[in-house]
Amino acid sequence: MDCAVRRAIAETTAGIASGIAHGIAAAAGPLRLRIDFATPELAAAFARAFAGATPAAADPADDAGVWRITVASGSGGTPVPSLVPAERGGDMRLGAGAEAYVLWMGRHAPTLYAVDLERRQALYWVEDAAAIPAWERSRPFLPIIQVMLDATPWIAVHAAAIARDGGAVMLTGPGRAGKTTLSLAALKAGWRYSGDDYVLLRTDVPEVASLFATARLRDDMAARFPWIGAVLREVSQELGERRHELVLGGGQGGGGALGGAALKAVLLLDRRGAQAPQFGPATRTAVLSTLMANTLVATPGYEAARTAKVMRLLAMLRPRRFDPGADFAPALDALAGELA
Amino acid sequence: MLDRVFRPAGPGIIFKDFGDEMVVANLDTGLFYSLGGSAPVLWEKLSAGHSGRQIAAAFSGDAASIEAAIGALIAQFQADGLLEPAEGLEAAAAALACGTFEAPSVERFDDLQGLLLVDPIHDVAEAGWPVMPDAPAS
Repeated sequence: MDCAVRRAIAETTAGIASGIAHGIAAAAGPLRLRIDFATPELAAAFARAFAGATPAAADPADDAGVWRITVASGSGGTPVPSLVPAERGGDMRLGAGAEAYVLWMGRHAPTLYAVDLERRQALYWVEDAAAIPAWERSRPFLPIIQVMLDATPWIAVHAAAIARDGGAVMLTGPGRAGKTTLSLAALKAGWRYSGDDYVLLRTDVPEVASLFATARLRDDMAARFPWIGAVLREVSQELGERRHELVLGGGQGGGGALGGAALKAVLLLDRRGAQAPQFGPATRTAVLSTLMANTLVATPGYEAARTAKVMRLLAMLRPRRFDPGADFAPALDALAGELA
Repeated sequence: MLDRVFRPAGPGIIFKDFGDEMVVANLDTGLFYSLGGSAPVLWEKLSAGHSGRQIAAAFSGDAASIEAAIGALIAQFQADGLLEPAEGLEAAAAALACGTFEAPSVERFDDLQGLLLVDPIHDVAEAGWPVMPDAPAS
């Protein structure tokens, strides 16, 4: 499999007839990324999603240690990579080896993720760029980035995080727990925003960092954030649910910026109808189960090593339950107290 | 069952003792377990190759009820795919002292299992990645 992945990435990259339309440089925790888009359409879909991304130099002087992701599409003229299965529907298919990784998304989206770990090169190929799901545009290439993080103490986890001078708070919980609304409220109140869906977590020394500059706000919550019009990219509809897809650049409506900090608290969001913010005990198992469920499904492969990383972090920080109550301001005051 | 030796049932079983709580995860089924009472000690000793009877004898308290509780827990661990018999292995010889027995508790969390059931992922690494006819397998 390793050779097949290496060959497919090399062949596909070489076969991009039009050349690279646009490239960006981005940092992802310990990683330095260079992401090359084969078409302007792909660049428009993805480039703004990365926190702190800048246009890449045409000929970077210092390329050592940089991970490269080539982004291409069938609709943009790039031939079908040899790794794409003949049967394109069906369940997801995974190959996770020592030197290579490949994931075919199957019925979810005709999308291929492939990583050559030795050469630090990756390929994202999608059949039709016009049909890229909103979740992919919000958190692009996540399985690829997760693989790149595997050799480091960092992991991308399904959580939100917000930060101030005193440190960061990570908010875990299943979908609809309120991670996005509380994170956006914090951003407006001057906190740094690390992410509402996936954040980078350092597990040897507790720390969070931002990866994506995006947020996905449910339609029924949009009225609570009148300022989002300035950062609204589109309104998407998936599985019958409308979401306001936001691209944040920092400074929204007088709010804070993007970024992370030393992690001080891990909280399991658990709304039980309290009017005022309430903290309570939470088992590490409950938090681990919530954190890893979406993480392991969205970024399949190497599950034991990734779960062990998060276990290591939870040995350093005892999680708690948090019911934020009815209003944002007292909830944020309570969270600020966690950092004191 | 109490005289058999067990081991964690494969690389998908991982666990960590946090002192006040032990977490055991079955990444194949997507179930996470929070062990309390004497269950962490039982898991640690069972996975280290001690038989249930050896462990029961190392607790102070009513032997019959302790053996019954340990037998039930082993049965649950086996049924959930956490432990499997370690055929051909002798029970570990080290002497044990496990203190006072507390009724074991096991709390199960199924967030991951729910997603895996809806959205199965087929790991094809062992069979080789499917390739197009013009790309011979390496």
